[in-house]
Amino acid sequence: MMIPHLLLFMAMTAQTRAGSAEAVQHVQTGIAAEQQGRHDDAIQQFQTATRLDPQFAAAYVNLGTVYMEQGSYAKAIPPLRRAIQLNENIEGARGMLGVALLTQGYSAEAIPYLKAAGLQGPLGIAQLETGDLENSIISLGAALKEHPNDPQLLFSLSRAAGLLSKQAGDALLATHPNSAPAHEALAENYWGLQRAANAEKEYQTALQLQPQLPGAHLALGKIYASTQQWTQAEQQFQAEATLRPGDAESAYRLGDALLTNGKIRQAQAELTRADKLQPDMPEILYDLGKAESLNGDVGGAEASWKHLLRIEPNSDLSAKAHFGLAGIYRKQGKPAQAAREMKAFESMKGNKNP
Amino acid sequence: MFRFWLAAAVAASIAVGIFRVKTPAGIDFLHQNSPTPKKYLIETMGGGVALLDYNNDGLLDVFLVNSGQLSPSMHAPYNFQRSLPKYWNRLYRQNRDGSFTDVTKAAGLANAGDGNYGMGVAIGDYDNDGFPDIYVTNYGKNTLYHNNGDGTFTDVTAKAGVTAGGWSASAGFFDYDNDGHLDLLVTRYMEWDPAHNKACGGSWVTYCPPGAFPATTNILYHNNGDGTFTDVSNSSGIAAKKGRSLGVAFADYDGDGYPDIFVANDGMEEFLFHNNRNGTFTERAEEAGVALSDDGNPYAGMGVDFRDYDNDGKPDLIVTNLAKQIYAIYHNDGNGLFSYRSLQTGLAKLSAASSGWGVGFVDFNNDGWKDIFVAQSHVMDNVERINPSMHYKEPPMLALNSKGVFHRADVGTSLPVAGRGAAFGDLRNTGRMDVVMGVLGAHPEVFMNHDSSNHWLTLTLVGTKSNRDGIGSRVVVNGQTQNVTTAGSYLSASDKRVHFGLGADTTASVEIFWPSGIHQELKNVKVDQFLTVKEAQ
Repeated sequence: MMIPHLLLFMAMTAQTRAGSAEAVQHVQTGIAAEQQGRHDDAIQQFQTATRLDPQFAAAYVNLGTVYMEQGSYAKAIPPLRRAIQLNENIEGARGMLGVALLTQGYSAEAIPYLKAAGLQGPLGIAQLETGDLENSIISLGAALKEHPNDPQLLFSLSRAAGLLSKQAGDALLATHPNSAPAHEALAENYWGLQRAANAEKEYQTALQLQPQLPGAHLALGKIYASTQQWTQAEQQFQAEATLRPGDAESAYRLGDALLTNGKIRQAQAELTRADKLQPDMPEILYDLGKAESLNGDVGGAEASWKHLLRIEPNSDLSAKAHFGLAGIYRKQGKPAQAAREMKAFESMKGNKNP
Repeated sequence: MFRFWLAAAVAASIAVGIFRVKTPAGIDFLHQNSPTPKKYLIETMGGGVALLDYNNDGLLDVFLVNSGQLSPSMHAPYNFQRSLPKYWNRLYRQNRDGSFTDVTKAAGLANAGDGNYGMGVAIGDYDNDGFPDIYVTNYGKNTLYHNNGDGTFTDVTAKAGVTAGGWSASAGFFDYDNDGHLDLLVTRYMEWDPAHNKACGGSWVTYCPPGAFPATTNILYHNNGDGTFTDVSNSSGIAAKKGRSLGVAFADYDGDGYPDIFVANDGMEEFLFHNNRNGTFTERAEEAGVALSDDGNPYAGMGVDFRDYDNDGKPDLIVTNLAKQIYAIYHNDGNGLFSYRSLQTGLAKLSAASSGWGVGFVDFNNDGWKDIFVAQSHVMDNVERINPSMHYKEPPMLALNSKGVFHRADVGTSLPVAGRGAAFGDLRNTGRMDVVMGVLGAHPEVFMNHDSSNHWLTLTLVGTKSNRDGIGSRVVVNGQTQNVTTAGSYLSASDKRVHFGLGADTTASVEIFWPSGIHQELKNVKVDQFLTVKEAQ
């Protein structure tokens, strides 16, 4: 859970919100104690200040802040509430109160405070916990822009998106159970559970209901490919490529299936088309080089693989491209170049599998 | 119109079943691999088969390698109970009526040694006495049985000096120095013993991949010509490379007159040992382009055959492996180089979902093009739990060769089994090639060939200067090439006779290039016959 920068806030509060002189003195002593890590002394000082001047908002904020620092979120809530009652614009208090409420499970109550404080991360989490999934995704997305790899934010966003997806799926199944999208949604769920046979059946039903359902042939083809049913995979990718001729992935998948099925010339044509639709894709370039090489277009293969290596110099695909280039050079009677490519290949493989 | 007709003709040939799968009377062998919850790796690797005419009566006999008893708690010295009859290897003699008689005990082959868990078999007449001898590989010690010529065998392992040790897998006889005496190569899988077995997996215990165990060396024995062999593994360069080796096949891939060696390795680079013609070998798989797949990936090489599938006169390679890896075909381009051709030949889509072991390039429909038979099954007996799209048991695969492109054909059974070894030969002397497939923990399957549409010629070579069986000879008949060998496949040994399907040809011209260097030609040979050819003096 992300907590606001407490010390800066305390210092400013103490300086800008005056109370009785004696109370201010205790607050300043409390701040000093807190800065030295003497939390219990600081609490005593802030509590004394609130007794001396019950209207002194800064004393309550600082008391709540120390409790937050200690992880005593339940204890932090009353003084933070009181501070806001006394001065609803008091700096930092709303954010801390929102966080404290959230940690104690009062997510709905926390939301307005977190919103007011602009704390997108905790706000997204509170929204997730209250089931406001659409807004949760927006808030968490905004928070992730500031903290791109925060594990808590990533987990929450993943959860929110998953739940929203499930909600939408449930609504779809409840309202249109026999529709093509409903069967497509079921198919995706089954595929996520690695139940290929069920997923295949649902996609087929979806396609019976709506033969031109975008993406369904592609998804079904991927299932066939993953289960090594390449003839069926080719048929599905072909259907998708026909339906959506501008889709590079369909063209690439079809090319890959054609390659596996030994239709090398057709594969090269399809992969060339995929490369035009989406240039600079390493996967397409690798398969294209392979098809060109098998068709005897050695210059084409060399160009495709070298292009891949420029885009992606160190990956599994680039290791394969080096291996392919070594084969070309060996057959061209260029042992030095073949050896150079094999060395690059082996060094990449060696790096990955020490 | 012509193209349509051609396509229809291909489809029609595929639809016709070539095999009838039946177990001939008298073959009651039940392979015992004794699977345990410990998942000892040896449990899933055995199942060798041999076809040989041990009594020279003109009928092929069948030798089946058994494995042994395992228990969840194994302690050295290991006892696999091979003295119990259920764990014996078995020799079945073929009778004139096509039935078989178990002659194991009478032949002196009953007890394979309690410390030996059985794997495979090699066949060769190592002493050139005209009777095939049997070499059995084991986890433990290997055994060389000398054929006494009277229906019995004698264990001559110690005298011959071919015990090996460790975990042997496939073996094969060949004459690497062309001195007229068959030498012996033994592949070994890994450094392993039951007490140090590992099991892998998460929720389900599985056999560990080979990389979990140390690699080991293969063994080359040189035949001294006096009934003894010398281990030349180090001096020959064979032991310079450690592997996890299973299948082995021999062929002279570069046409220099000396046989080379291909060794299928599991989960690492394959080996191609080039014969330097001076008693040494150089491993050249990478330079030749046969070490890895076309994507540069190692695969689980298991079975191998080394023959010319596209009738260009040069021996090509097929290597079986696990599902999702695609069986590898390497086309011999000449100049010592090969090209990976699994995609162009159609083998990729036929094998992508399958796992293969024993394999042969054999012309089953006598059309003059070598087809493919593969004994299939995954290595893990619980693979479905890990990946429901994969299968432990599978029917074998038959793929017919249509001018270098392979199409799936009816193999005669859809029953899934755990196929392992496969041996090829003409069991009934019909001019058609049959198959005997070893099945892990089950009865063997016999594929009797009933295709009768084309002509054929089968040669038996008798060497005089070369080794007695002409092993290593290159035989060219009507443009097709065969190299004479009993080795190849997985753990298995095939009919030593050389079979040619001749399609519509009614005569044959025969050229034999003997290992001795002698070149012999026969013109206008009548087809549909078994012909014995003696090496010219």
